[in-house]
Amino acid sequence: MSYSDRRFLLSVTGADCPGIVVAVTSALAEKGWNLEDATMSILRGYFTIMMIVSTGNEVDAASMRHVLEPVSSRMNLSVMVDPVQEEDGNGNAGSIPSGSEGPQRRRAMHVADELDPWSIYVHGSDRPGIVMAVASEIARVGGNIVDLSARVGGRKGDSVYVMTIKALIPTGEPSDAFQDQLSRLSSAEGIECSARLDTAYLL
Amino acid sequence: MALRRVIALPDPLLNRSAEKVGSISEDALVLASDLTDTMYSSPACVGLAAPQVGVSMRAFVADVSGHRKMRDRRCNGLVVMFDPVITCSGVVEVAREGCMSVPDLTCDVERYSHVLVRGIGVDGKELIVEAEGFEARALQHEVDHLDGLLIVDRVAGPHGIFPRQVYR
Repeated sequence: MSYSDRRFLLSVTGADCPGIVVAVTSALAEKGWNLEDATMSILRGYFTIMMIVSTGNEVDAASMRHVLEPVSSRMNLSVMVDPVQEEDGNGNAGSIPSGSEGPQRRRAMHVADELDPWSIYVHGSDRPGIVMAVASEIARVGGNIVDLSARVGGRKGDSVYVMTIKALIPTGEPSDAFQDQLSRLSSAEGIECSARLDTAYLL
Repeated sequence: MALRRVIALPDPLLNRSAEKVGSISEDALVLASDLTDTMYSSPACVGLAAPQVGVSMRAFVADVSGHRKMRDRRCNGLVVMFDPVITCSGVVEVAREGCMSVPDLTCDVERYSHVLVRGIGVDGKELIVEAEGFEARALQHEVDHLDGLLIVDRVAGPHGIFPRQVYR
């Protein structure tokens, strides 16, 4: 059996307590399955983790849920398992072919061949619509958000929303124009929004 | 012109501190020449350290002069140094780095904005190089290699690792 024959996106969430990571990963390791990309965070006391799990060909989503059932019951966790398709070389999963298990997916947007990595920093008084406003601007230039982290801080009744976005923006989008547009967004939305080109340097 | 094969993770040699060179032997000079040739032959590469070609020797080469980041800015040109000792100062800045020895990934890495590097040049005499900005970043990256440190050891936070894009 090769542990890289099939891949699944495993999401586990629940009220945080010590021992969740060791419990989940122990259940996976006992089956000989391999963890690949993963991201974890605590959101307002809730544990969240998403990871790519590679397995042999004989595994399906139902059997993975079954393996995790004792842990999820004992620790009151929600578990979701979705099969994933191989990447296209740019870190983008394609749509799942018809007939395969799991939901049909389509690429949500065309992603340009040449992309530059940007960091976008946002903060302002918390209110509904901040993420939507910034995400809309990124989408307008054909960009794609690849990472997003946000926290609400400040005093009660005067809370502050702080967000960092990593996005891929099509090469050729004039950096000055993009930054100007974010500045206009700042004025219109009453938030502070700035961006930095993160071009990687081969050293 | 001799090109050497660049090794990559998970080769354990990349995680070890390299050996001090001391006096500059003929082998050390050949190594420096090969490092320079290999660096110049690799598109967008601005530095290479001896451990990256499988040699445990405290030696590196760097040249950021051709990089678009250095347009209209002064720099030291080709730097070839043995047994470097680096002193960092200035402010800490985060930027995205790639490395020939870390395939497929790039990392956000914190580096100081100014460095003074003191070592031995190809003539066997003391060589002192001062650099700032992008060149300072490159020199810190190369000296890190001599201490067995890679960009994956210096990631700025858990969300600082990314799939590699095209380098220009």
